[in-house]
Amino acid sequence: MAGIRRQIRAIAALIWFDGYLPIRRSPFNVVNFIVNPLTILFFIYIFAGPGKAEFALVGGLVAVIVGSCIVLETEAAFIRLVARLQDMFVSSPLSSISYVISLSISQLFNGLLGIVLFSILISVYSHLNAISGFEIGLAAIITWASVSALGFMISTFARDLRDLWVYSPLLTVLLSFLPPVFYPITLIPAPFRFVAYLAPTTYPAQAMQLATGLISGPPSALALNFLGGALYTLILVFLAARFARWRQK
Amino acid sequence: MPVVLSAENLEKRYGSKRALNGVSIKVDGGTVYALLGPNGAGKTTFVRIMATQLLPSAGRASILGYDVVAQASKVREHISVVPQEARPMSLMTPYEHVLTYLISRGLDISTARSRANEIIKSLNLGVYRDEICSNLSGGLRQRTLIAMAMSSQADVLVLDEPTIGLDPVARVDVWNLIREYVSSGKTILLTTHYMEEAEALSDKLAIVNQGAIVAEGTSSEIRGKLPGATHVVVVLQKPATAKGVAERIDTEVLASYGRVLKAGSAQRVLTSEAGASELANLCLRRGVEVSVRQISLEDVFISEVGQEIGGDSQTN
Repeated sequence: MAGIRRQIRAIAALIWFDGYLPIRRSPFNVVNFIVNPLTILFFIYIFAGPGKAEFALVGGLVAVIVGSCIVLETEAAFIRLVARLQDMFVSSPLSSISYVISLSISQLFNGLLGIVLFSILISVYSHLNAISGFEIGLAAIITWASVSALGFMISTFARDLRDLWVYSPLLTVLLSFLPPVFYPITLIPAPFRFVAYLAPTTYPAQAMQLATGLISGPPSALALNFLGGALYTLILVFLAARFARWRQK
Repeated sequence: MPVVLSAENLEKRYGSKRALNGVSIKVDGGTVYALLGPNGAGKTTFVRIMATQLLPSAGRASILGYDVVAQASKVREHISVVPQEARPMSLMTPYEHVLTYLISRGLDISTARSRANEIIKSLNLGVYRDEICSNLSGGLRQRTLIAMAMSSQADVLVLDEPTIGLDPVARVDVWNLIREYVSSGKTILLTTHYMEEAEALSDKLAIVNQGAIVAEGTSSEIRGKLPGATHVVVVLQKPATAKGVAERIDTEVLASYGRVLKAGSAQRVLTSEAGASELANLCLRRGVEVSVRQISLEDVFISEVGQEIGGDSQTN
């Protein structure tokens, strides 16, 4: 029990160090993570009207989480390759799991403003109750976990930080803007819908659209999307753990 | 003092390349042990294995009796590391670095706070306690990392090239910190490619080259590896010019005074005190540039390896 308390304290300290302090020192950074989702919301509102803009609220929440968490690929690689502080933590009682969890949660601070803003807008415009609120929260957690695992896994392949600079914007597009995150999957022609499920964000976005009543489906649809998202996350976590360079061979 | 750190026939292979080739050392508690060698000699590979960051290909190693492979988590409770060319995060202060590191090692917040303040003060970082690291000099940033490691009060501190890139004043500052740490009974394993650093700091040292130890002992024991030689005469012969042939002293003549090592553009003659005096006079009479000094670790290194630390000369 004391060991768990120590690891929780360690996670909290690292989140303070890697998540809270950088945002406190450079608060303008948060704007960077909210500009794109707000722009898409604006255009959908203008061209498709207020009804369709609710899709952009759900999409905005997913996109903010993706944008802020995928940065983990650069952050983890920076700490390992440039600052070389990861080795200090490896050679200490801190566990690798605590380290990865704290870096993953830290990145959420980048998107905190966007997460709060889109959550408020969703709850106002979608008239959430406790259950749908819980479902949206669960979908957000799945988004965070899957994208963080993906980001961490990519970071392990980096030999130099420049290897990664191109990936964050590319992955943000591939995970947030191309899959049915800002729009219903039914807009994709049926034969090509399977492609959408290659993106881990499709499942939580679908779950959020179901929870807010933007799309409808059989009672099992919500559970299937949660299950798909959770499975995808587990695979990504497994791969991240498989390739993680905590103690090198 | 009991042995705190030991390695037996430690090997590390990357494919067909051998980074470590059967390294064995024993380090007593309360001492500084230095690994001295050129870049790429295998020093960092060795300390990374000892610090549980890298798995060996063969051999055994332990710290305080705990095996670095099988009991890594036990080892990690007793060590702290400053990796080579590490740097603190630019937007955070020295205090924040130390505090985070201590809590991440398992200390409770109030103990971590008081210990962080204590170490910041004792390492003369008090003035910079709340200054973000991007505003600090290289020496102060390095001191921040050392403060993190030392604040843990770990039994064994592993410092990989702790003074690389520092100016002489900052380097001496770091030396003093290392001496103070060891005076409290702790053990330090450090790597360096600075001869004077190894001599000034270590109780015992090993000269490493191409993944193997070529000499080990105290600095005077290692200097004693060149029998009969106490002094070095460094002879810098001018090359011939268009105006005529410069006055030179043949290598054969130099060899009559002792062993001749070629080091860059100079020749080093390892000889006795009397031989050094005689050869220096001969050089001065012929207008050949010369200097005389006592045998150094670098001379032993060149003698054993046939190459300067950081150079590529050879023995004659």
